[in-house]
Amino acid sequence: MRIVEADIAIVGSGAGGGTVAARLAPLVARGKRVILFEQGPRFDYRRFNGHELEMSRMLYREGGGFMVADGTVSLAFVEGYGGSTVVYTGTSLEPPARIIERWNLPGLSPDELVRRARCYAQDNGVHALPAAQINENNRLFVAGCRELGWNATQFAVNTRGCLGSGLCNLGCPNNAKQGTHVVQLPRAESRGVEVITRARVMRLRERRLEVEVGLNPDGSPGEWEPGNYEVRARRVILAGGVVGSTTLLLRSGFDRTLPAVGRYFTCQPAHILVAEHPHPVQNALGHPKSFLWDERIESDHFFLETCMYPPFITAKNMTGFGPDHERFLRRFDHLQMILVLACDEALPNQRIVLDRRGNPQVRYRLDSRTIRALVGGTRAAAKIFFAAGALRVHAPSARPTCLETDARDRIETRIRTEYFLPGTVSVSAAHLMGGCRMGRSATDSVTNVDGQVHGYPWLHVADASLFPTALEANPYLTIMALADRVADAVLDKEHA
Amino acid sequence: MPSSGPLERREKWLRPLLEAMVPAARGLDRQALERVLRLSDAILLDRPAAIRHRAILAANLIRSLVRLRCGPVSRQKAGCVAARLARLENSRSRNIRLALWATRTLLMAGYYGDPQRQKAELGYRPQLRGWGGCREKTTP
Repeated sequence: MRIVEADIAIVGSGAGGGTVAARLAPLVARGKRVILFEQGPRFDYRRFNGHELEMSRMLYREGGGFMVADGTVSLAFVEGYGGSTVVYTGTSLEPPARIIERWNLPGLSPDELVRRARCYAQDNGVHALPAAQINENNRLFVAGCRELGWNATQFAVNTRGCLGSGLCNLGCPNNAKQGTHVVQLPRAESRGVEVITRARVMRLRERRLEVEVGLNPDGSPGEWEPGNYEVRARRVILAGGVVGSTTLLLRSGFDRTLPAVGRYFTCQPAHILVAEHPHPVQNALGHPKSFLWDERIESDHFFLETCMYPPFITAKNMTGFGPDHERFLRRFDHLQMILVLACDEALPNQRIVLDRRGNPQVRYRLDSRTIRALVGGTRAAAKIFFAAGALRVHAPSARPTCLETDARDRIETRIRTEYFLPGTVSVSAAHLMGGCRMGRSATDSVTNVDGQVHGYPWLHVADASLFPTALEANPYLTIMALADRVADAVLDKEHA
Repeated sequence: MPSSGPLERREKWLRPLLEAMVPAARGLDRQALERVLRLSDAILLDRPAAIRHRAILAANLIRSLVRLRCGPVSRQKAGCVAARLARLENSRSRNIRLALWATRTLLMAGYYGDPQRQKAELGYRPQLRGWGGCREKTTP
């Protein structure tokens, strides 16, 4: 085993790890060695060809088919340079004040987090798309909401030079999306932070990491020779994402002193809903997401966003099969799509554990509140579809799942919670949160408000696993704002 | 010639299941069907061994449950197979529902995930250059 000395080791390169790496990069000029380990490879955006199976296999953990233990929800996340920022849509929502206030953490105010988030918004080219770049799929959403008297809100996205390929979730082929792989990581590397890809951190001991370095997917060596390393670092910052950071702490036995490790996992489970219009809908071209409707988020725990997915992901996420299912797919260029997201509760028994081989297993169940939220969201989406002029709507919790226009006045009775059968209804999630939640004590949390692990002054967490509850919004700007805070705490210690 | 994957080797009884789930698959010739199953296999082969094993078990379970009602699974019993699958979809057993969901997802991956089919049958093609690519295409 080779031994490497470092001052700071960062594990993970997504929204959290990329932020921390960029913030700590100036330390290198002061003689400190900062190394970032990423277990996935570097991606070359010129290889992003938009073919969904090929790209899913290249980018997502288990091809996007990582399932929770009971098999009812699939979780999408990326292992690679930039983490899940490579495949998000760049939806840039500020930290919601009501959630940050609900967290009730000393010293963490909504104003401060928003201020930090705005710095990253500026850094990442966040802007609202002009009307000319809003595609018809998004316009139909707005029109449907308006017809119902509902207020659809436009949100900003983080692109520079977006050509409107609509392929955000399969890796932007034009490198327009400003994830950490485009902005923060190259900046950190240019200032001397060493980024080691294909480097899997297996275990964490007192200021020591056991790292296994492998070959690139094409068999070529990466930054370090393949093999086993012991990295000795004065400080360690975990930013491997909810599954990555939590798994590392569990594998290293931290749950013995911190019983909350892995617990309070949330993921904002989502439905992809489709509706057929009588005319072609421009859905595949243009940025897929620009509008949301969240007027019932506090009462009914769901919000809706525009979305667009390619054929297999759409087919998989619809419910059922046979002629009705196929008819929607055959009219792919006539489809409008809406994403329903449920705001799930953070509960101690919704958690990440290790299986016998030491691999992560997510023990998560769709509870009755989440199911009611998904059904409520489906009803609202169906109303928007019909109000926008759809001929038929696919509703997973209706029987049959296809609603024709004559059902538009009976949506409440046709779409019902008792028709929501876990295991039959497709549910997926990409907003993974919790597992190393911030809090006041080690009894029910893992870190303090600065992301420092209780009882371990050399160890910090800087990713979405810090969230004490679901954020009830797309999380990347909040992750960056929290990681920025963690970086400040680390810099304070370094300067001291 | 590369050896066929676990699903391709089960082509005989997977075809009726695929046709019940995606009726348009009835028009597939042998070669096209092999392509569907090869794509599904490719996805499966990427997954951890335990998941692969569970996916094959799931497909075998569905086959067995269809056979209980319809006899050996074959194309001649398309109506029976489709009706049986529809019943299984709403089974009281979550494990049966999950097995059906997994089988359906794998088969749909091979069918709807094929770029050639997406273009020819669904009119979908990734436009890497976005709006510009679309305009270039229509410019003489």
